[in-house]
Amino acid sequence: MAAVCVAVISKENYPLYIRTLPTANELKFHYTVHTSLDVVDERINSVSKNANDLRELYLGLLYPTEDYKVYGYVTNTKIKFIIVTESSNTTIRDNEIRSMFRKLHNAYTDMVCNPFYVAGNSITSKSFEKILHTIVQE
Amino acid sequence: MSVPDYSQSAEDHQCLLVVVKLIGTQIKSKSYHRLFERISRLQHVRIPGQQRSMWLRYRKSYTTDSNEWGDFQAHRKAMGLVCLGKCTSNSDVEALTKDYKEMKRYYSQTLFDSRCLLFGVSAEETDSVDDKDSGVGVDKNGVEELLSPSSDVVGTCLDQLDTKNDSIQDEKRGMVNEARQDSWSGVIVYPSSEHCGQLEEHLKEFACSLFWVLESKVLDRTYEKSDKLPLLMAPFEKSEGVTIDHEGRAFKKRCQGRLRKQMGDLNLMAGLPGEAISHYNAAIENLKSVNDWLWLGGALEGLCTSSAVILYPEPQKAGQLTRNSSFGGSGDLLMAASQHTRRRSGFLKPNKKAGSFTSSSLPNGIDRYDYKIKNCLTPEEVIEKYKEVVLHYSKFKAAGIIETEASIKATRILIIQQKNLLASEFLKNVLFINLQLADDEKIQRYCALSQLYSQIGMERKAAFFKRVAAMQCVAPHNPNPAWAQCYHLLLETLKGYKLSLDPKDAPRGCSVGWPVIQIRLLHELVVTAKRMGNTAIAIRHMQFLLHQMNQHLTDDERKEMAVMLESYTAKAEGGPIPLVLDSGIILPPVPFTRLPIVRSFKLQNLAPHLKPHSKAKKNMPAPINKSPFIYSPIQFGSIGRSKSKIEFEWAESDVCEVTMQVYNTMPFELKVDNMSLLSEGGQLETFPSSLSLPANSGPYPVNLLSCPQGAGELKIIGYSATVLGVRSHCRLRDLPQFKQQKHMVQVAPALPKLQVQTSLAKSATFTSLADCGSIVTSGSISLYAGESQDCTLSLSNISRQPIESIELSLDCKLSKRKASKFFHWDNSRIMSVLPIEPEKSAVMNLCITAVSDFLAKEKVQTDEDASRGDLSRKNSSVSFCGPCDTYPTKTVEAILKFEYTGGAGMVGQYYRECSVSLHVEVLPSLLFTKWDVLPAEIPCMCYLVFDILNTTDHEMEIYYSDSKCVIIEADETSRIPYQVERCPLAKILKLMSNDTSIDSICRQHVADLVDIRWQSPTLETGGEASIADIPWSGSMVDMIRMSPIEWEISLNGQVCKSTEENSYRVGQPVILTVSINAYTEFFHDDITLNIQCYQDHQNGVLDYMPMDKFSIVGSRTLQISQACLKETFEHQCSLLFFCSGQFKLDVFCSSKTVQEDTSPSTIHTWKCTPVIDLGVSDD
Amino acid sequence: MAEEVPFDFLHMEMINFVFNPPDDSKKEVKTEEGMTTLESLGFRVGQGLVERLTKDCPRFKDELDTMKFICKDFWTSVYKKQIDNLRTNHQGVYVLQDNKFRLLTQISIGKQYIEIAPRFLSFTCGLIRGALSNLGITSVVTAEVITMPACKFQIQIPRT
Repeated sequence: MAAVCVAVISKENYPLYIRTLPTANELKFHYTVHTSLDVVDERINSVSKNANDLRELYLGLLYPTEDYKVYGYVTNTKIKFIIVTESSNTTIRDNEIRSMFRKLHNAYTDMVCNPFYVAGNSITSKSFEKILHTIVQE
Repeated sequence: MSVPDYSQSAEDHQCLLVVVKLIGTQIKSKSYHRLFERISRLQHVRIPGQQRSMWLRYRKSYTTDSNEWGDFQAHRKAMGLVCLGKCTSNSDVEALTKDYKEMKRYYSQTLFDSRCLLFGVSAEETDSVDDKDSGVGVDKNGVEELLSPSSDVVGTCLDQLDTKNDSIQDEKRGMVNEARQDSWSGVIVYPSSEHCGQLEEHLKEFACSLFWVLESKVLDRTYEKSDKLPLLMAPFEKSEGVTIDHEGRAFKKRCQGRLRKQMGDLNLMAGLPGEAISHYNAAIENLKSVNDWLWLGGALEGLCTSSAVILYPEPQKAGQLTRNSSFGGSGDLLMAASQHTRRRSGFLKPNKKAGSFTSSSLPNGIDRYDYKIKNCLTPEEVIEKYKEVVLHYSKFKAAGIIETEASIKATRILIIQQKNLLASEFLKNVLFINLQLADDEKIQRYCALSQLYSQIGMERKAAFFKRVAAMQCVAPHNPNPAWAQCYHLLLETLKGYKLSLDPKDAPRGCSVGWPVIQIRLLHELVVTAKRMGNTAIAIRHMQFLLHQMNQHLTDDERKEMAVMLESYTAKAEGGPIPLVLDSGIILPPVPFTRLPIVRSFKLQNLAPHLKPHSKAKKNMPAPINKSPFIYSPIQFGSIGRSKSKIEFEWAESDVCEVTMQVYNTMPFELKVDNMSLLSEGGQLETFPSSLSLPANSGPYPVNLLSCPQGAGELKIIGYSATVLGVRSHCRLRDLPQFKQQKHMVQVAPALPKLQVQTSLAKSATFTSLADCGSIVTSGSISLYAGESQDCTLSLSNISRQPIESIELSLDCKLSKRKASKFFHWDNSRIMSVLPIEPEKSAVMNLCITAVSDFLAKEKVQTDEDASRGDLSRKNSSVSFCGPCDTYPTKTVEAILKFEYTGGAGMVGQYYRECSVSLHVEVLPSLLFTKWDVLPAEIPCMCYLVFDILNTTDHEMEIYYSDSKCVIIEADETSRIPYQVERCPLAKILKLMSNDTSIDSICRQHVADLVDIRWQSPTLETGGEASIADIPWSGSMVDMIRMSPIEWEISLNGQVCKSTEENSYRVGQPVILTVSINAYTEFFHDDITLNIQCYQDHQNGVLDYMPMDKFSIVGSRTLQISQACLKETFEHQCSLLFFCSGQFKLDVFCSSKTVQEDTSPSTIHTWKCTPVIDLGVSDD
Repeated sequence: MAEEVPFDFLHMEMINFVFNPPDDSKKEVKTEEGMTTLESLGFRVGQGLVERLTKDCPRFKDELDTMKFICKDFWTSVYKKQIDNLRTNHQGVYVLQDNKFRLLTQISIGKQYIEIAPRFLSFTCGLIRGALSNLGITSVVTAEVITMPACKFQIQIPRT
């Protein structure tokens, strides 16, 4: 039990994939993830200004809301991954979030190699979902 | 102070607060607003005689509990008051001044100075007031000056010095006035709100007076006295009665610290930020040591704001400039904010329009504190300190508003520093501050947050909070949900969600934004609009949702929405026009271009017989399609076409058609009603069609009919249809599947319509002639060759235009001459029935004659050979081959074309054509199987001999040569001789000049003379048999024509006559003298005279070479040169017969030397007729 | 060594296939047409490849950083060597020079095949363009052969 919501967002900032806990209010997470893109954009853009910044793919905690923590990750190809965890869940450490993103990124790159996947379309791959399942339900 | 002021910025700390109040009831809110705007333009005032200036800010209202915070932060104190009133009489003035005093009392705690501006009293009246009560602060000079146009301050930059002097004078006068009569202090009267040019001057004077009061407080150094200092308190501190130890060092420090903090505030306002910083720093030191967190926060904030004022002095100026640029921008705060993206401009109230007053009040080159001031914080420090400030404030629940405002001020500074992430953190902090707010205050808060988010470029967050604000408007617990407000707030979120309500903006192919959220938002818009009671808008959004978001919807959602839309449109149909909201936002129409999808859209030409043709075009030379190059990349034809651009020609008041193919890709049945054409540039009466398309199916063909109502050019630009109760105008230019944006149609003026009927039976087969499009009817008939029959054509006009002209022409495979013989009509008869009025008809006659050559085609060649043989054998004992068993019936097809016009179309040089296809079956009647020409007894006559075959199954009578008649049984042949005059040379000579060959002259000659008719009693019919097509052979033709040579033949000096036989004895020499007279016109070459003698055995055998029976003394063959022909030529030779018998002499001339190999056609032979008989006896 | 050649063979066959299609319906493939086909093949490969190759890279600082990645990691992964020389005018033009371009090494040195050499470069042009495009840089990539196995790739990034 780690993430409550995982999202993959395209270069052009529309959702490719979003998965939430089955019990959760999905729409709410849509809003959360959508607004978090503002921060992601800002982070990506401000990087070029400050050369000293760590140029990690992992963007860290984007912002905390009362109930959730939103973490971001952006690939070099400007695909964004967002993971939302519950604020009450204090046991999750940064490293765990990182490894979740790693896993997500690996799953995504594998998925892109699917010959039937056209870049920019929603993700419907079964094996990708399986991996996401482990992240959300872990 | 219950509500935070979201417009606060750090600069406001240096501004002196002036409350502008309305007194009395006579000023309307609109003009009050205008006056307020005018007043609030004066933000910056340079103090005369000082190197300093001050800033002002204005509020329309200010509550006392806000005012109470004035001790905590001096800029919250209402230090100035301006009352505005309108009066019509002196009594009004009295009442207003009373109100004014009341107001003054309300703010008395904090007020430095006040003014009352009254409008509506003219100079005279005020004079009288002045007389009565000399204390009225009417600036008489001012009013007078004001009347002279030169002093109209608008647009003129007042001389600095003058202003200064004036204001000083004003000030003095004001003071004097105040001294004289307290009740009238600060009252200034203007004739009207339009005529108050001095207003700004008076305000400046007022500002100065405020400044001096402030200055006096700044110079008050009481804080330096350490004993008995008052303890300044924030309002809640008073009421909570915080127990503070009133003794001891700590208390003293606290008092001193708070006082120093206030001094800092005052210094900042007095334009001395440097001083302020040192005060603040002192205060911080004091307050920190006694843990006075709230005031420590205040002091820190003061430090930050003073530093900000020093660090960022430009925005004020820049702001004014931007306001200039945003001239004409609407008063909408948010609009303005979004226009100036991340610049500071949003900072200053953007609804103030720039005016010349402001620019004059902020003279160029004013000395700002751009030099380094000691202890001024760096930009980074400012933010650090602000974080502290917020931290300190957050310790006090009652300071929530102060904390909120501080966060917002920090955000604004961060916007200048372009540190958006930090700014967003401050904004987030605002959200966490727990304030007890009413619903509308919450809305205000969310809107303010949204605006700030949008300023830091976080459009998504901005949209999110705007939406939260919208939802707040209609919160479930809210007894009076404000749907309209909610709706407008929702509309503002569209940008953040990357949604444009104009379908044209939608990019093709790729999705933009977040579909789930966009759908949600559209749903909310629909519901809100519905609850607002504006069904039209709800329908429009629903349309957009169903149409534009279609690809993101599930089938169930689509169905559900279709049902919903239908239920909405049941009450009010959705229209195709843009909707304009009260706020000026336009909701463009959403045509249902994909419900159903149209895959093909083709205009149809009128039926060929209705197609209008232009005479003008017909007369034009055909476009040159040829280019000198064999291959040219340029298509000449296509250039011509693109120039004219006219693709179709339709005619007025004729129904025309467009065919389409439609698909329904929706999961529900689609009913399309009233589908019709959209046109431009001409009236088009449309005949709407309706269809019902089952779910997920297609293609279905649809024909849209319409009828042009006027001549000229017409553009077909699309179609319209009502689907789900929504009327859509689908223009071709909005349909990506079509490249062509419009179709040009030329509409011809109204033309009549002609209906043609024949008395003939309709033909079963279709014509094989190429141009058959315009055929309206057909007729077929069977005729025996040579037979002729009349048929009637009835012409009816079935239109409302008269037929004024008809031109008939015939299209037929036969030669023109033959065709005109075959089909014959009388043009003048047709002319006589014109015009044919509407609904009337006329009749014309057409005579059809079955013209035939009467030859069995396949036999011609053999016949020719046979006849040649006949000729050479002289006596024609004809042996002909038997008739063929079947003689093919021939078919003649013709198209009778009517080009007709009338009415308006005739004026426009248009015409129509329709055609009748005619089918004539020519049955064989008789055939000429053989023919020959024989010399007659008289040289000027000849006999034509025909073998006639009756090819009918019945007995046939042949009438010829005046009164002769033969009867031929079926399939029998009979020979008839026909004596005709030979073609006279004079006729040939005459006609030869017209380049007609001798051949055809002779042919025509006999054809004219011969009249053979046939009659079949059984068939009750008859006709002519023309010999015009008989191919006479060359020798026959020579026989037909008169010989160009005249002969005179003498035997032994005796001219011989044809009829008598000349008898000679064996061994007797016979001297033959041939004298020739030739018409030289017919000879171009030398001719050869031949004398041939042969023995006739009188049993059919002719012995041509009986050399042993006779001999010729002299030349038998003789070349006669042309020259010799000019005169009579004579030739003599002698014949000597060796034995008895019947001999004959053939004397003939041939145009060329007879050689065996010469082709026979070039040789013409002229015989001397008749042949001379020579009887030779033994004794 | 053997494990490195499959790509080379595949590439050769690809060119062969594009310019001499097995069915005789198209008699002659125009050079430009074939080049475009190869280029677009390369584009798609580049797009996919970069997704995988950048997985473990830090985020690129700027354009130049991205170019360096192309010259080093990207080139090494495809052609087993780095670009020998990278030059830029700092206005959106980058020139990548490979002195021994792998796909040209099997062609004899000299003028003989210099005309068909561009065929062996267009796939790579597409590869670069695809990689850059997925990294958010729209570009135009052209190539030229100077002397056989050396070649230059010029990347132009339009500045708006």
